Amino acid sequence: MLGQIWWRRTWWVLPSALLMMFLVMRNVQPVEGVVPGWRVSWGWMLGVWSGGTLLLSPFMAAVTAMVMIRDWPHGVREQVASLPRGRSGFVHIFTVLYLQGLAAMLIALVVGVVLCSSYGAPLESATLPWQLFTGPVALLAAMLLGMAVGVVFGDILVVPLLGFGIFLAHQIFYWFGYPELFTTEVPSWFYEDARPKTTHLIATIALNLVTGTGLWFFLNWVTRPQGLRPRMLLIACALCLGGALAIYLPWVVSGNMDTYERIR
Amino acid sequence: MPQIAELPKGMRTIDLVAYLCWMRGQSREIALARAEESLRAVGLTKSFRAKVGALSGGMVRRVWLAQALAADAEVLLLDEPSTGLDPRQRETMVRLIRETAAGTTLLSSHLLEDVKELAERVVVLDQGRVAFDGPLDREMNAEWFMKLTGDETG
Repeated sequence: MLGQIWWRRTWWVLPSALLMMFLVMRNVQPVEGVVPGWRVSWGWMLGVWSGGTLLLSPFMAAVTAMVMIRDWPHGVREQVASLPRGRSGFVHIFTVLYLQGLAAMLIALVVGVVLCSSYGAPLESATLPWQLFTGPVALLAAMLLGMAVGVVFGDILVVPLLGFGIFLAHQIFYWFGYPELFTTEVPSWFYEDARPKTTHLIATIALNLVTGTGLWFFLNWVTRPQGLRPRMLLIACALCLGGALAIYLPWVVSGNMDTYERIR
Repeated sequence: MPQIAELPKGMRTIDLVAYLCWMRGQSREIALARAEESLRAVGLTKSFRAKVGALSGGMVRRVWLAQALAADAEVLLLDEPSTGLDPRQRETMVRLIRETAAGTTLLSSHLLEDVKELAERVVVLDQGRVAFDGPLDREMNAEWFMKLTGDETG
């Protein structure tokens, strides 16, 4: 396997992704005059940690699109599409980039765990294990979107537009209290007697998983040589995006904006 | 070997040729060995680690030829291999094809010079139909070609 070529090409992504995570995690109010305040609550720490996607997801989606456009351009993709391993390029690029995004999240999580443990924060404020999955799954879906955009559009101009678009989309989901897509909420404060709602977290995870699966079906379709693209893949993509809407709509209809539940 | 195609400019020459060879189904070791061998054959020994974007137009065409050679295919299809090259680069390309291409080579070209220097058998296509199919003849020149296909410019 020659996937290591892409590690060499994208070595700068991990330090940049780490920077994104720490920019979000340090930008939280102090408690008892000490930053970061989230050290006093596991639930708050995990919320801010998964909320690192506020910067990480737009960045990683834009990077994925950029690598596709610059380093694996349309002309090459077309030339190799019919080779036995001709579509491995997509898998290699995506895997190498996602693992770097995930590594940045894991390093930030270790820092969070160390600080919360040393403070002796109460564990009941965390909604486990669901809070551990929202961020990585949102990142996955955002990067699949980045790859789809990079494959469909060959112009490098779409890269900043995509990053900015995902960053702006965060506001819609966050302010209206809907299950979130591509990015997750960054709690600016914590509730001593409340924690994130399990149903809201599960809906966020499901929404991103279903959207990501739909994008994966689309990528599987669009990267095949013309004339050899099964229509079933497009139908599966449409079904998944319909599924995402089915998860999302009940929140819109009910107007349920409360994302926290009482512990006691 | 395609006529014109984008290449990943940031990738190293050896990586690109090996990667494309691996995509054809070869193991990693064989792909790397063949990449080295074919880049050497086209005279790019000193450019193994050079990024594709840093190569000249003629060298890029040689990279494409190298990846076609690395495939070790029974039939080599070369689409306008000397398009866009200056006379010296064209001469080098023709020499390389003559020296390195083994087995059957199908060459598509609008340049009679290429055809005369490389072909054994010539097929002329005119608007999708075969206008000529026969061995290479020393008499093949622009006049012969115009007579065969009709001088549309009058």
